[in-house]
Amino acid sequence: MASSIENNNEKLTLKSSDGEEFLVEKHVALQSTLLQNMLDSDCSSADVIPLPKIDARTLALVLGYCKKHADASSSKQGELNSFDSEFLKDMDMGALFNLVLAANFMEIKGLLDIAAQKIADTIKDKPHQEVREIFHVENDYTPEEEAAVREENRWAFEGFP
Amino acid sequence: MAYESSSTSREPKETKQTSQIPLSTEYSQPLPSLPPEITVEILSRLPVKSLLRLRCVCKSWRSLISNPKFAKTHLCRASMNTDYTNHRLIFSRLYPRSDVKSCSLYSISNRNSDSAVQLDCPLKDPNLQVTIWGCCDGLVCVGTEREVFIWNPSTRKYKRLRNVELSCHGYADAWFGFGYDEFIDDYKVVGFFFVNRTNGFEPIVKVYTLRSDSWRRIEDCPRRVPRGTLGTFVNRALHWINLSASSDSKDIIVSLDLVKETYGEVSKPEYQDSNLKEMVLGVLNGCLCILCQYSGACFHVWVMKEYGIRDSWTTLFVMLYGSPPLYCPYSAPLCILENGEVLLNLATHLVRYKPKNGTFSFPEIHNCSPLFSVYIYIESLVSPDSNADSGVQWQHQQ
Repeated sequence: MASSIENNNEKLTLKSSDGEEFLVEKHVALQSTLLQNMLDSDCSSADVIPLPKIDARTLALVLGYCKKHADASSSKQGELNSFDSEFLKDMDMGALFNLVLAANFMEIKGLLDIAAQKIADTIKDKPHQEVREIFHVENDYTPEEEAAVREENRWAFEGFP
Repeated sequence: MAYESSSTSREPKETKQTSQIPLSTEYSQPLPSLPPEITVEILSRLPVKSLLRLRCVCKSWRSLISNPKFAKTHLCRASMNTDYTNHRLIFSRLYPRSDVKSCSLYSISNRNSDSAVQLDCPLKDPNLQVTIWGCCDGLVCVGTEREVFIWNPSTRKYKRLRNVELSCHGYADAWFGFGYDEFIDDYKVVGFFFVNRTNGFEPIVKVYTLRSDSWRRIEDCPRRVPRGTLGTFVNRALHWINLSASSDSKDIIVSLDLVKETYGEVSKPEYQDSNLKEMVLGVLNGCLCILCQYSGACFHVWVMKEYGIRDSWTTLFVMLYGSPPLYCPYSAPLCILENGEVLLNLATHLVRYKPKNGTFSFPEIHNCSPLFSVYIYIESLVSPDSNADSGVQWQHQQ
């Protein structure tokens, strides 16, 4: 969360969609390709960088991930893997969706990978009707059309409603 | 990545709404809608069976999941999975001969056991031995003396190849190789059809392409083609070994480039010749490999680390198999597991060998013995029928 402001050139300030500011060490911010590109161009680290698509709660999670990965040495891959699975362990679908959107926007490939994989693992054994609700997708099939599509791979629905 | 027919109809919602989503396990508040590229990112990580169900979610998901480009994205991700979550072993069997089963390579790798499941193989004649001719991108080329199919066991879709019945065309025998032509983005089956001539068996070589659904004769092989050998597909070419008939000629590895449809020769490793009984080719981590069997059930396994570079042939390990069975058809190594052990098919068993200390163990495969041959395939959405089931077809139905 927002820590005390220090006069340190190696830090930058990120602002969430709901107005909260986060002071971030530069090497942590560099986990994000978006921020890296901004810093490489003319963007001064003194500026506040607004992230209008990411709320404070999600941004705090994202930065926690970035810090762990920026601080860990490359030799500790096993430790990072267990951090990653612990990090997502009890996260619900809402948080995961926000996280995957944030990772995509900020271009943090590792985080996008694990969040997308976690969502995939969660929905893989769910009935399609439930997945439709989770993804908030409108069913544009007529009942007859849906039955016909289902019939094309009837065997895949054994044990499913 | 853009999939024309894949986008969901909804635009991403305003940030304000997104930030109000509670971190609760109930879906009481609507979750943010995901842009199409993230939907692809998530769906491309799902098993094939789940995806076949999710075609029922809505029309755009059905189009996406049926899109050949999505199938490629999915395949690419699945092949990169080093823990073999998306890989399966496929077995043909000695009895019943038409029985084709599969089990999870992940389970074999991690638990050393799995239950084999019966696959819905398109070849059902119990009197004919099923041969698996090759696997590529989740498609399996499988046949008997009467029929040959390109089959995707994960989607249960298949295509029957025309004009392969031996007796109808006067062929004494035939063997097939299966691979992918990256230049035309199509799958090819090479058929060596053996005709009984006065001076012995000479093969007529034909190539079948999936999209054209037809056979075309190509140049005859300048080398003797051994009967019954399976072609190994590596680096866009099929390979097989020509064992020398006499001591003054040399064994060679012959290749058939599937893109150019030309024959070549690949340099062999400097293996020792004395007491060499048999050699087989295989693929390990995308590299051509060769297993040399010496008398006394001693095996040397070589890998060509850089394709075509003679000096890159490296001895991977030397293996002594305790009690060699009398009749011992064996495969080249099937794969290297995460812990460095190697999976092989020796006689009618699947064995894993630990090169570090030279020990063997036998994975338990329930409901499946004895084995005839074992291959690995990836679970993919790749369609054996290029004309079927694209998003376009759905639009025609409207």
